[in-house]
Amino acid sequence: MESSAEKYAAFKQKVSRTVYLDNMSPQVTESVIRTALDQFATVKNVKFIPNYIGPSNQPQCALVELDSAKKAKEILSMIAGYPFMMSGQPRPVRARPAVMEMFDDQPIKPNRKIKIRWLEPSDPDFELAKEVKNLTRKHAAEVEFLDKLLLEDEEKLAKQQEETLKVHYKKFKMIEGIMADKTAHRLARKYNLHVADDWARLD
Amino acid sequence: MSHSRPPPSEANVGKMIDFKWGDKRGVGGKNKDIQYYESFVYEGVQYFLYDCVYLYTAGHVETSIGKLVKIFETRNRQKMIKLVWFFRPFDIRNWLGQYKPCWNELFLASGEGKGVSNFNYLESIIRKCSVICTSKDKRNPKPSEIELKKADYFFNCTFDVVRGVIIDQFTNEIDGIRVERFFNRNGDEKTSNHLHVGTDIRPKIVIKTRTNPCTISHCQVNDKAKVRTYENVLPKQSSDSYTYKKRKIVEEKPTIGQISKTPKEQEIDEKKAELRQDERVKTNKKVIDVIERPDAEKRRWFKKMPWDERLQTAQKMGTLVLLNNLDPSYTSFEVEDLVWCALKARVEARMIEWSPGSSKYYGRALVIFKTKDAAESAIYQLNKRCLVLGEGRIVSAIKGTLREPGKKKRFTGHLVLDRAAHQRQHQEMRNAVSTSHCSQPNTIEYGMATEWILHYEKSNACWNALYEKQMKEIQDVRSKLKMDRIFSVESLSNPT
Repeated sequence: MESSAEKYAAFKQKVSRTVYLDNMSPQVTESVIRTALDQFATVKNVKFIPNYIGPSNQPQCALVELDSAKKAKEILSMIAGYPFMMSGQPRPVRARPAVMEMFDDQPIKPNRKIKIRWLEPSDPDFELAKEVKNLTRKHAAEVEFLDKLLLEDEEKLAKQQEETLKVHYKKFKMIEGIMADKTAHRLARKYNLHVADDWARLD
Repeated sequence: MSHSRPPPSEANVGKMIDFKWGDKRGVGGKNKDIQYYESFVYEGVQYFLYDCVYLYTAGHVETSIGKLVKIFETRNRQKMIKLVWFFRPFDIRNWLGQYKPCWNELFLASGEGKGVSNFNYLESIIRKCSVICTSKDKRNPKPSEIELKKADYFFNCTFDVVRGVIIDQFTNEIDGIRVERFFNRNGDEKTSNHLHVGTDIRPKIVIKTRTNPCTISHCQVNDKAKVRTYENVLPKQSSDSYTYKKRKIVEEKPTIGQISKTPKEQEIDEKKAELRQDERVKTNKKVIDVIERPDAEKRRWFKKMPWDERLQTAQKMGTLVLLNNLDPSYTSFEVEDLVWCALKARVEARMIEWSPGSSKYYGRALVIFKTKDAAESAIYQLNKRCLVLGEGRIVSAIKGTLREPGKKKRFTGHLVLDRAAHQRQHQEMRNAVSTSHCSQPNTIEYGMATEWILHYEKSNACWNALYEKQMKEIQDVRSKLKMDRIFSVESLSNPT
């Protein structure tokens, strides 16, 4: 039992220096994450969490193990402070401290004893137990529904941002156009204004 | 032993009773007024000393079995017998311990105390019973194969009524009778097994009022009741032999002489019925401690195919099941052990990792069964019955369905400008895709990113609100569910 307790403690250490990243594009690979975080800390391990049963089109998430718990904290505060872009924009990546339950290979809790019991329909508690079961179903359906709503929200936001971007793009293209064919300069001279050569571009 | 009650009168018994004394054996009693006999003919069957007989006891489904050790007639012309009892395994259930009795095994009473033998009315005999002793004791003639096959019961051990232990050694005397009398008879000794006496060709007549159950003596019953007090508090369980024996009773019923119950025994019977009911509930109340599967170690030895492939195959084969309402801190191995202990099925399990968007309360696992039938039966079992986990969770199961694997090229929220329209922009976007950066506040991107962060926060708030509501509902139901009752392993004496 001692070794399993040690294993558990070691795993807890590992969890404390791990950062959970989500809202990542499917194009993000391990090397993208390593490159992105290399400037802040040494990435020891990257593990993508598969999405087997969630709604499709879910963003990617990954557990990134760093060299120390301190570094993990730094990265967390950095990503919380500035929108952090990975393999695309403007949807930023989000970071959270990792917890035990995020690992599919978490060790067995030392000294845990699981007790189970079958309840037959004749048992006085059967009806209540069934109620619990139905509640579980209902809750799962609620989660599915909220997932759908939030995904729709995301789509909406993305679409709206796309429109905004198009307008911006059109605007910048026009500005660039009048800069390129010297229309801007002619107009500036006419109105006696100074024209800078360089414009801030998108991104 | 005195018999204060008047014996059933001859008129009551009727002259049709089929009875005849056999050889006299001697006299006894204070006034030499007790006549002992070697044998008697009762209902066309000759009974000898040391025959085993079934006895009917009112209120008991089961008959009692005893060995005739005395046959006598009292001054009042009352026909009496003395019996040394054989215990059925459930009579001594509390003392069985590790001993695993056969369905047709009996235990000969032994020891110095109440419960070894009793006096009974001869009329309470149902019929003969053949009991064979299989003890390896030197004094015991080895029974033949045929004898064993024909026997109703066998015994190999005695039960000491004083010490409450099963003993496979036989003392020289039991209740003052030489132990040889309890062993199998030698061939030369006269045997009366199921022997219908030739002289007795009178038709059997059923006499309903042969003995009046209300007036029949209670002294014997009293004695027996004292023994039964500890026997009866043991909840009896129906054994394999139950129906078989019962059939015998039904057959014999028209001719049996009933023995009335004393109030005390009635009381005991009621108590027993209660206990029996309690027992029935308890047998369902099996709390299973989840232990490691027999092959638990092996699971760690081999590296398996990636889960993606295994799950895809399982889905195609219909062997995939999704379990819900597990403890999220369970590991996949623990789920495998749990399924093994609950359903006796070897499965591969994979806990679904908890993510910030999912409930902190509900743990889920994908489980791959060996066959489609096993998977379907598991779902059926988990739906029909309820598998309760220690923390008031009831496992729910549905067919496992994996997400469509088709990867979308575009990611919601990542914008790409029409590339053909602007070469230079395109070049820069590609650079942006391959790198990561923090957004600076003076860009359009920053504004849009802020909108996303706002959306994240909103999602968080939605999830939290939903899970808070769900948690409240869970607690409402759980508070009603008596977990301590479900998982109690209390002894019979503890009130539930």
